[in-house]
Amino acid sequence: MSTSVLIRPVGAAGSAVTTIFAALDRVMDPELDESLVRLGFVDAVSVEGAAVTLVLRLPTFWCSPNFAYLMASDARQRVLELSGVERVEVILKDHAHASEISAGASEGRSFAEVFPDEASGDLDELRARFQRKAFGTRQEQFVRFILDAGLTPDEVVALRVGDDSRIPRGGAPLLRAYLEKRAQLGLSGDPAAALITDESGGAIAADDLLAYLRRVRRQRVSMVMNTALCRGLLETRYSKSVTEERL
Amino acid sequence: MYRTTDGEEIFVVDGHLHFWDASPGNQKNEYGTGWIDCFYGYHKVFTPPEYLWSLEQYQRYSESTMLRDLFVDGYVDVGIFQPTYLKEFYVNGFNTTEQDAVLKEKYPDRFILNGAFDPRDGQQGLDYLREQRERYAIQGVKLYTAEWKGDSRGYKLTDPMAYRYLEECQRLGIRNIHVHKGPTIWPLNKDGFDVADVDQVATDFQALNFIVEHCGLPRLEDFCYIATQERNVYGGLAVIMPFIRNRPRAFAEMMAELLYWVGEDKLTFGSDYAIWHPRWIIEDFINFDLPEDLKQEYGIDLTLAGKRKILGENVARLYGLDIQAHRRKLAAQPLPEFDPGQAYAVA
Repeated sequence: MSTSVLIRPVGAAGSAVTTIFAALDRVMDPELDESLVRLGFVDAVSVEGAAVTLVLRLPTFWCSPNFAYLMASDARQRVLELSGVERVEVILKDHAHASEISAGASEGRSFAEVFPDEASGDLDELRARFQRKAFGTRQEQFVRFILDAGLTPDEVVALRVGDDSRIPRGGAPLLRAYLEKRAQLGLSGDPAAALITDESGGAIAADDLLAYLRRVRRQRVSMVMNTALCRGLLETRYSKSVTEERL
Repeated sequence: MYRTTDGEEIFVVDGHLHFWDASPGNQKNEYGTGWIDCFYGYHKVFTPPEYLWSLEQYQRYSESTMLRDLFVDGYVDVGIFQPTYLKEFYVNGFNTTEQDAVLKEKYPDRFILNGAFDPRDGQQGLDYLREQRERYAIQGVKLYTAEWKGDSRGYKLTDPMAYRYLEECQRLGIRNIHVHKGPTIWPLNKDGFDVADVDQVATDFQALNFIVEHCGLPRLEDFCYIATQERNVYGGLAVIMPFIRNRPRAFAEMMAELLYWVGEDKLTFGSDYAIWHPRWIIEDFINFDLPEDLKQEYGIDLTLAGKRKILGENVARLYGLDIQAHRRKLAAQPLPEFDPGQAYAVA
């Protein structure tokens, strides 16, 4: 997504907006494992004293309310953590459940409170499920990279968390992204712990590595397609005038 | 009928068609507006410029537009209607069996008409199912488990009433159950894309075929898993096919997955017309080759024979359509002349 959707920091409020965008860049779409800022979901940010207003937009009117709610709540939470911020209002625009989600997330209510008839629990399980998928996706990309760089399956499964120096050149960003998800799943950060494990920390045998990667790959293919679709839909949705002109 | 440069003829069955009415007068509320706007986004995101429609044309298109797009320009020999009712959003429904039946009745050999049911309609709904079977001899139904009804935001195939309906389908000889498992309006905290309910009913209803439309996208991995477990589960490629033009690598990776896990005998082509025009999708698909790295990695290929199955043979088998006999029948029924000036009115 082009950066043109970002509100450019201007004047005195500029640095505050920059800080807020940096915070929002750490809020992920759980389904796509990509930041709200990079996806172009942050439409506008404004600051008035200690009060921040975030306007979010999504690719369609029907984007899943559960994911929308997670993102809106997470965005509020991250911005509330910034020093000097006392209130955060989140406005989700152009959505089937825009008013419920905006009001609920801004008031810090749970999804179950806002949609009592439709939610049978909270969103933690959903979040955890997609964290596991993101873990698999990032892991697969990292492991394929190091296999392509010449490591054998035996060497891959023998790697330890502290083995940075044994990672082939260029693999550091993928390793970092993978370690971040490992930490979120609560897997061991001990330098002596096995680096390449399944999502519960279980060991993977060298002989099973390729079959394991193939299973994980299915998730990545879904995610790639879904991301392509969502980005494309967002772009066509908010570039109406351009398309209409062509028509 | 698609003719390859070698003169080989490929019989095309488009497994996923709509003849909808989303005109402003039929929109009941903002959801109806939001629905067609969302569909229009899907249209715009993948459609090549020369096939783009205006929103107005997209909201409602004529019979002759549809006939020409499919059978004159689009290589399609036979098309299958998959109704989507949405009566909460549209006054007369979005795309009902009755709306589609208008074209089926005029061109009986060109279309296969599917019906629909909703287990939340109780006993009355069972009567309606029987009525559709009696009136239109339907062999299949399209189910949209995410459909809103009153306060309900959807149902599962494993709900007790859904079982009664599936039993009735089995009894009536309605063999093909097309289930929308793809981009949807429903999921709240439950994952509405979840295909687990298909897994269970496919086991319990061995005489029925379950065609998972859109292959569970964006949960392809879950769909692949159940499709390998169940003999009677198929994948409908609507929504997946149009990636072929501007996301070819993503399309290739997905086809590799589907061919590896599900296999070329259980995948069926669908344009999802009028979301997309079948012509460019079919042309691209015929010319598509799986990249070498994916062939190597998965140990699979997509040959012309495989494409032939996906474009028509597989779904023809599900509907008991004898391709050779049907070709002869269609050859004897020329379509009406269409005014070429109407073609792609806005392109």
